[in-house]
Amino acid sequence: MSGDVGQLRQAFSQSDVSLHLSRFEIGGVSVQLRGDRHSDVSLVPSLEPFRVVPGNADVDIRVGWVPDLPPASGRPVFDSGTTWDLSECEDEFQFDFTAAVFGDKPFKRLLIDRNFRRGQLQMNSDCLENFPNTVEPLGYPLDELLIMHRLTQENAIELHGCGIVRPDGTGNLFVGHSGAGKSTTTRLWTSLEDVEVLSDDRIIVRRDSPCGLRMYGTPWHGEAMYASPGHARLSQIFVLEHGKGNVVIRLSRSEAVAELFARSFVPFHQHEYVDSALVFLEEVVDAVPVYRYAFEPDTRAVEKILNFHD
Amino acid sequence: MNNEPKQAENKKPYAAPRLTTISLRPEEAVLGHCKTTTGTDQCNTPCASFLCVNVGS
Repeated sequence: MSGDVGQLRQAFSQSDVSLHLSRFEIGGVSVQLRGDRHSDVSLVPSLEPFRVVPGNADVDIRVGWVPDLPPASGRPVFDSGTTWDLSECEDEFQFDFTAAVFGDKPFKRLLIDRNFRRGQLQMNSDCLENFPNTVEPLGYPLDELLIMHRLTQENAIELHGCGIVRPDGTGNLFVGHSGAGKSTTTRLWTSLEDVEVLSDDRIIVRRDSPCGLRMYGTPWHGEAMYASPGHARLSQIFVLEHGKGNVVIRLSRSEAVAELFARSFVPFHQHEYVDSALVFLEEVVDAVPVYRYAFEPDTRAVEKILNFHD
Repeated sequence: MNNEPKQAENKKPYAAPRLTTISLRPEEAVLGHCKTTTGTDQCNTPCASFLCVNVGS
C-alpha cells in the first residue's frame, strides 16, 4: 500500500464509533452501512423497500469522508469503461468511481477484503462538497457491484430476468437480454393473473436447501418498474426470445448452462468467479428445467405457459 | 447373470457433437452503462452516476 493511501486509511479509521447505521438485504445478502452522519448511511429510494433492522450483516461498510483521494496505486484489474474501475492491493480490492464533472479524480473509493465482508467507503470531500444532498454513498452501480461480488462467495447468482410468482406459489423465471421481452412478459402476466412480480429485470437465484432453489427480487428494475424484496421457490426457467407462435423447447444441460451464463452478472475479472458461477449454474439446471421460449407478445404467450406440462 | 441387454437399453443414443453459438453482451454484463446514451448521446447533462437516473444495463 502506498504512503498516501496508508495515511488516508489511518485518518479515515481514527473514529471507529459510528453514530448512524442502516442495513438492507438483497437476495439473501445483508449489507450494513456505518457512518458518522445520517446522510452517510442514507439509502437511495430504490433500496428503501429492502431496508431491514440493523444487526449482524454479511457485508459491513464503514462510510467516511477524506479530504481528497489520490489516483489508484494498486494493480489495475478491470476498467468498466463507464464510471468505475477496479484495482487490487495486497489483501483487498479497490473500486474507484469517477464522473466526467470531476475529471480523472475518484469521487469515492471502496476498499474491501477479498471475501467482500468488510469494507471502507471513502467519500472525496474535494469533489463532493458542492453536492451535499445529491450523493448517496451506495448509489448505483456500487450497490449492485457489492451484491454481485458478494454472491461469488455464496451459492447464488444474479440473472438478467423477470421473476413471476403465480397464486399457487409456482415461481417462473424468464431470462433474456435487453429487448428480449422481460418487461412485456411482466405486463402480460399482470394483466391476466394475480401474480407477484419480484423484478422485471434482475433476479438473484440461490440455493436454499439441498435440492431447492429460491429466486429473489432486486431493486434494479426494468421498464415495467417492478422491484420487490420478496422471494419464492424457483420452479422453472424460460430463456426468452421473440418468435413466431409460442414454442417451448427443453434445453440440454450444456445449452441451459451456456444460455444462463450469457444472461448472468458475474465479475469476469477473476477466473475463479467465472468457474464458481458455472459450477453453480450446473446445479441450477440440475435442479430445475430450463426451456427456450420463442413467443409472440400477446396474452396467448401467457396461456401457453399456464397450460404447459413437460 | 448376464445384464448386458439391460445396459444396452439404458445407454443413451449417440449424438454427434455440434457447435452452438451463445451471444454474450458485455455492454449488458458490465454494470454502469447508460441506458439512454447507449449508441448515441441523447443526454444533455454531464454524465455522473449520482446525477443521472439512466444508468443501467
